[in-house]
Amino acid sequence: MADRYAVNITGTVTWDGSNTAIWSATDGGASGASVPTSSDNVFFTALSGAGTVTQTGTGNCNNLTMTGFTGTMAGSGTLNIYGSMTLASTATYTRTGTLNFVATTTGKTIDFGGYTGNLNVNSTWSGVGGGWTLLSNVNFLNSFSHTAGSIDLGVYTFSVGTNTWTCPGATTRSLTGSAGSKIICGNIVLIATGATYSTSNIDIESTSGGTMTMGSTTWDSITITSSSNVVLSSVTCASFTFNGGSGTSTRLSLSGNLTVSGTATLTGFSATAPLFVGSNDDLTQRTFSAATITATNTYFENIAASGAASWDFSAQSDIGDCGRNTGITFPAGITCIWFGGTANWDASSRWFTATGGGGSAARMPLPQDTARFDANSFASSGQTVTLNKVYYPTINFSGVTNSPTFAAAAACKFYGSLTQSSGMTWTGAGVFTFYGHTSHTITSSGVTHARNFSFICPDGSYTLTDALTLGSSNVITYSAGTFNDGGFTITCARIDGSNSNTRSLTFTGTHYFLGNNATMLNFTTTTGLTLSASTSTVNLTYSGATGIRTIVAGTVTLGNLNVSAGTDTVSFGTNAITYNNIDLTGFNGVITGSNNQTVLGNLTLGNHSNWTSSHTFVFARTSGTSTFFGNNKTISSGITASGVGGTVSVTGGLTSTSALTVSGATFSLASAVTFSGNVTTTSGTLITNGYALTCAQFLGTGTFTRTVDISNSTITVTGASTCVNFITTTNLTFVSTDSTLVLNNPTASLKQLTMGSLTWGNVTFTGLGTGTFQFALTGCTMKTFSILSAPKRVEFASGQTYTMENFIAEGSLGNLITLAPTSTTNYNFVYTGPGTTDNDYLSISRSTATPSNTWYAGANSTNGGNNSGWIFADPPVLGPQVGSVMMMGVGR
Amino acid sequence: MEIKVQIPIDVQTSKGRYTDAIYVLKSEFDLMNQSQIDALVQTRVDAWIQFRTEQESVEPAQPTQEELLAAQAALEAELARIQDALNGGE
Repeated sequence: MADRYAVNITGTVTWDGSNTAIWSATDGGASGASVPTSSDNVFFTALSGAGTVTQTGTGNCNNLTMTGFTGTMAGSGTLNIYGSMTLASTATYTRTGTLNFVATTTGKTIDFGGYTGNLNVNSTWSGVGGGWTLLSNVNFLNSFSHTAGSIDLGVYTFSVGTNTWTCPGATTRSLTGSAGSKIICGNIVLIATGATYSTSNIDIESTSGGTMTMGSTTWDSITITSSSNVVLSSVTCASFTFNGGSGTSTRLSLSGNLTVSGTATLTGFSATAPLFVGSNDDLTQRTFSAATITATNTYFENIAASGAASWDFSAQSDIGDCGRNTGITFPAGITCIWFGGTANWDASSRWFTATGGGGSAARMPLPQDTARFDANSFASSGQTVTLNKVYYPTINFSGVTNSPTFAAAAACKFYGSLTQSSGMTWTGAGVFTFYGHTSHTITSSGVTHARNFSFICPDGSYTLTDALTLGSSNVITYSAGTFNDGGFTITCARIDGSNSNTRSLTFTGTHYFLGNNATMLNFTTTTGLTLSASTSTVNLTYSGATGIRTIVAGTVTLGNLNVSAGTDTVSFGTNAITYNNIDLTGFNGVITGSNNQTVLGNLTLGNHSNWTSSHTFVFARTSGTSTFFGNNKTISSGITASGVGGTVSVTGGLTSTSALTVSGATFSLASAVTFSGNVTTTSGTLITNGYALTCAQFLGTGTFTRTVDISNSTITVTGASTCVNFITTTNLTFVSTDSTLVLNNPTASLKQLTMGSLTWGNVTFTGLGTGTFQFALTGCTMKTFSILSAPKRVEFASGQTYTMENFIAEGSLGNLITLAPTSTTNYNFVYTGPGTTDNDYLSISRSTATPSNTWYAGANSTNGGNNSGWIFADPPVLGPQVGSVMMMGVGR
Repeated sequence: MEIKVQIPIDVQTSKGRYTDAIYVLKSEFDLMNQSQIDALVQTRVDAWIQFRTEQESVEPAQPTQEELLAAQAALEAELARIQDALNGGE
């Protein structure tokens, strides 16, 4: 450790990492000493010179002592002080570089040495194990950060001006003070982790406009002067003072409880610019405890008052009750009646206690009052009342005449009901937020708004008493509380109810959402949501082409959905939604979506230009019939009919590039339908009613009770592999009267049919592909079994019996139809039709055909061996019969 | 105490079903005949249809950058909450 005395400070010199011309080992001695390091004590003295020393880069010293120095300390370099700092009143300080107090041992002192100005610098107090004691008032004008070490204010004031006093991080540190000590700051942010705040003797003077994070600390006094929203966390103090400014948003927002062991003084700027004291989140009641309370021009909301103080303000006329306060007695609410035409809301002289200007109300309405505009409020037309404040009580415009205008350009907070009157007009776009804490109503009387509405009423409710109409860009937000549409129509751009607060929404009316390119009903976060909307109707009416309208986000149940216009994209979203009816008539754009949509009623397709959604429509009604009107359109969605007891009737023609699953309901065709995917019946009923059904695979295996009735219909199966599967027929009722099962195989792949030993109608194999048709595992009964293309190989399950009334299979020269077993055991053919079969160009092996003399393979067919009952010749030609004698080959 | 009579409205219009209500003082209601009531209702309904028609000619305002960022933040918060839940947190 050495001493370094500044010398030769004349004109402007530089303190940097190399200039030794200003350093001496002795006071006033020869220069040339090394630049000071962190272990060197630096002295600026009366012998140093009266010039300016400009510090650049990063400088270091142990103690910095400037007693007697008459020069100027300047520069923007960073200076790390490892010891104490003593300034002098004789010096000038213009430096702006950061001062880092990095001592790692205690016993350091900070003394402004009679200098009463400020250091316009950032300061950090970060030495682990360091300890600094003030020996004077200090004033660091810029940012302050205390991350380590101990600061003892003594009896002095530590000011950071209007900047934030921050104590971030989790390193051990402490802050102490004695009686009379004070912190002056704009804001204060304490992080309690690792810190010890012995601050009960310290006063805080704050000009906060932001969040004061107090770490549940205890202070002597806290004085806040602000025109802004001050968010104050849980804190205890001996006295508390809030001096509100003139702004309309002066607010003390408690994010924790405020405990004042002595006097709390709340002072709003004026009766028309009150101080608002409430909860930071508008949701949670906060406890405000005081031994003594004085409040003027103050509104309270969500405050649980406690302590020895008398919270009785009933004798005052300037204390507002915004609701959900306990322990506070407010002045009684009165009805304030407007008289006098055009003026601002806060024109106290316009408010009266009787209609037509009878008896002065002597105040702008408090939140607990009722503001009344009546037939006498406006003497002539063209008059305007400007809502220039923030907090509004119940307002009743009933009977107002002369078509007044109410201008609300800024946000308005309502703590009661709003009853409007036809003939009045709103201007401005300030958001109306409804905070009412008990049961309230909104009556529109046909009055429309070009503004957003919002509801934050955690212990209150709003019910519409008539239709609510907002503009095509205006959103209704439900943040907390209860809302009931009363069964009336709501018209707006869209609604947003996505948050985690407790909220209960009841929609039973018919609503119109005019917006686009957004989520029309946003319930992305459904935590805390109770939504009763199963009987409501949602109409999306945007008629343009721009953007994506996501119908709803969040897993909820809605009523009817109508998308009646638009060439844009409408998305069913990513959530599984339950609807009653869905009607897309009038929509001509693109349909997307990615999660199943449950339909309890009808589904009507419009004239969509494209359908890219792969979600499934799940029909789940358990009684009656859901009608799916396909409008001859193609969709990529699948269908599941799952409502046990319900019926799904498809009409109007439909093509789906996906699948159909019948799993409980009755799925009934009223028109032809085509599925590129499979048709699977696991339970319930599939009935085709004579209409054509096309699918990839036709599947009905299983053990649940189910009916497959394809009577009079043609079932065309286009898929490969096991494209017909009824291997297990337990509890299956299968009806196939006059039906036709067509399997087309244009490929080389195998098509396998497991017919479940059932009685089928006609079965027809077509297609020029070389792929084999194979009856697997079971036999069956068919009416007419036709093989209409050759060459073709058809395999039959060994050991199984195939009974048919007719058999049509005719190859050609070089294009034989091969009938073969699936293994080395014969399969059985039983002919039940009249006369004989008449086929040709077959290749038959291991086929046991009965009864005898009925199975004619044709003269050009090939006996592959191990056959019985087949006659490899053409059937006999039958001539005309006379009586009972068959005339054969009778010549002249 | 003003006693009002509710005149319910539930009509199928060219813009869809519309449900509303008109409230008139009972003393006034008692003096109204049905055609006056019908006219009152029709005026209300026509006003709504006109408003809807006017709004359809206006391209709705798109969400602001702030709204989009807020929506994104909400989604991210929700995602974090879900992730916490999946991780066994609260």
